[in-house]
Amino acid sequence: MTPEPPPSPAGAPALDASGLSKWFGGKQALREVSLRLERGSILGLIGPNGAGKSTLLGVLAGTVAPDRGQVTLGGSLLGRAGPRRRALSGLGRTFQTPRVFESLTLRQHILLGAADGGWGFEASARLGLDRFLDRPAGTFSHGLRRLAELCHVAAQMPRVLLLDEPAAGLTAAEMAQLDAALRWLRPRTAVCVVEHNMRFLLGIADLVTVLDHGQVIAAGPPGTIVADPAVRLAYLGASFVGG
Amino acid sequence: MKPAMAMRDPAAAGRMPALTGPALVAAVLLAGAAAPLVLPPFTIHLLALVLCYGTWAMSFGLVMGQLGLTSFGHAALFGGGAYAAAWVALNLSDSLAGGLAAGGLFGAAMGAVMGLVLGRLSGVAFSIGSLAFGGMVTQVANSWAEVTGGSDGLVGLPFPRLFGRELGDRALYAAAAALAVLTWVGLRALLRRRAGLVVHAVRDDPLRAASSGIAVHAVRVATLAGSGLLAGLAGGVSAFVVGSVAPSALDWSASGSVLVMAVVGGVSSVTGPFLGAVGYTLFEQALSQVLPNYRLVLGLAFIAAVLLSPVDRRGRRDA
Repeated sequence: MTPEPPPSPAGAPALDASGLSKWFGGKQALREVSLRLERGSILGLIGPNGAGKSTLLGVLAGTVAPDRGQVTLGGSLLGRAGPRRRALSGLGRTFQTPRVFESLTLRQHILLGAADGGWGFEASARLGLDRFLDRPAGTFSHGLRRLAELCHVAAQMPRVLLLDEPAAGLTAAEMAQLDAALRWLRPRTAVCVVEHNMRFLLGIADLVTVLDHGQVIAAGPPGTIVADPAVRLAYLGASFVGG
Repeated sequence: MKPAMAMRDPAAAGRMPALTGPALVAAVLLAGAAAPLVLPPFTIHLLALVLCYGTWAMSFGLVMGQLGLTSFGHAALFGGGAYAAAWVALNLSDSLAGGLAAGGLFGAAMGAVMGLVLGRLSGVAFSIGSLAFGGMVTQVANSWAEVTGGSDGLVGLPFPRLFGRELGDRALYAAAAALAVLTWVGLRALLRRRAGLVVHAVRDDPLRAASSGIAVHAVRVATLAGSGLLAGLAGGVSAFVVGSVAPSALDWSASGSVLVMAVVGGVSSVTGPFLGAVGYTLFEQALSQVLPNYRLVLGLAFIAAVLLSPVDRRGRRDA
């Protein structure tokens, strides 16, 4: 039986962020951003470059301190907890530029995530990485590093999984495997995916939140988002045909 | 802790082939055991020092090669252990165990302090901080004459005793050899376990490690304390071998020597720094017998060794 992360208190969302604001000097990167992640769903986070997506992920993961607003994980207020405490509380993340431990093999990445491997070995099998288990990550291509990082984080069995552009740099075959792996992870955790590949994201997300100039301009099911004139104007373009 | 089952050795780079390794280790141990029986006293004395430096270099390799922090103040841990052992021998007890306990604990404490103060730094910032740390320790040794003997250091150590028996050069050689073997075995075993993965993860990517729940600062403090324990023990034995300890054992040039030893031998493995220390010390000793300006040749040899060495553990040179 696949092990499970600790359940949230009854009624509490896996992650709840409210009123997040962040300034960098005179530029406001986030304006009163709120979002909620529920276990068993995938939230897509989209927007043009500079919209504040990575800043928002940084705030959620504890690498960027917000100027206003708060984040709860499984009902517990995270306050100013750093990345380590958030990880121990059940928040797993990958980075826009994949970060792996170059000298460690993929198997060691998984065992480092959890002594029993958590969901890591299952994820590596679904991502087609079994033949790379005993190779050091320093020898991996960009795409493989991205997937290896996902296996490492999956091993931690996070309550919430934040993925920063997981499909960037992947081949079509790797993207199909990523899609399958995320569908397998969906019932086990709450996933937030920042992604520019709309075909990939709209195919897998249950809900989409759109950021522009640091604020939420739309949120809802993919079909609604694609049809939203404000979203088409700000990001997708008038000629976009997706889903 | 999860045993190494199904894991590959994280410290495997540079490891001896499986079939020849045990035979080679047995041969080295046999030669080491036979040495006191056939070699003259001066050579035994020199080899005891070589083994102390070898243990010190392995402790340095733990920090530089495994943890990824290049310390320019590691002599403070070795020399600090030597001072602690010497002070105990001169003021409290001539017991070898007491002296080594003092040396090891003092070295561990110095390593922990270095980690607590500097462990949030990395790269050049850590190196400069460790240089300053070593400089301050050297200044204390020079200035606090009532305890440290000032610029003269602590001299006239008696031969230590173990179970009531006075230990001579051969016994001290055996102590240095035992410490080196235990350090080699212990570090290799540690690095093959989950603790080794954690240390390597912190070395490879501290932010990724922290985002995976690893206490990066605590790992650095613990590793520096462990390294200090080994360096302090080695320093303690060396104080008994030499019979004295001076501030030069603490200063930046001594830290530079152990860095050279480790780099020449190769910091990616546990064995490399030990071999580097053996080669460096014996080469320096031989050169000093025949050349007045032997340090010039030593420097050129070091540059050649670095240029001709295998590429680093990630398979790249800088240029």
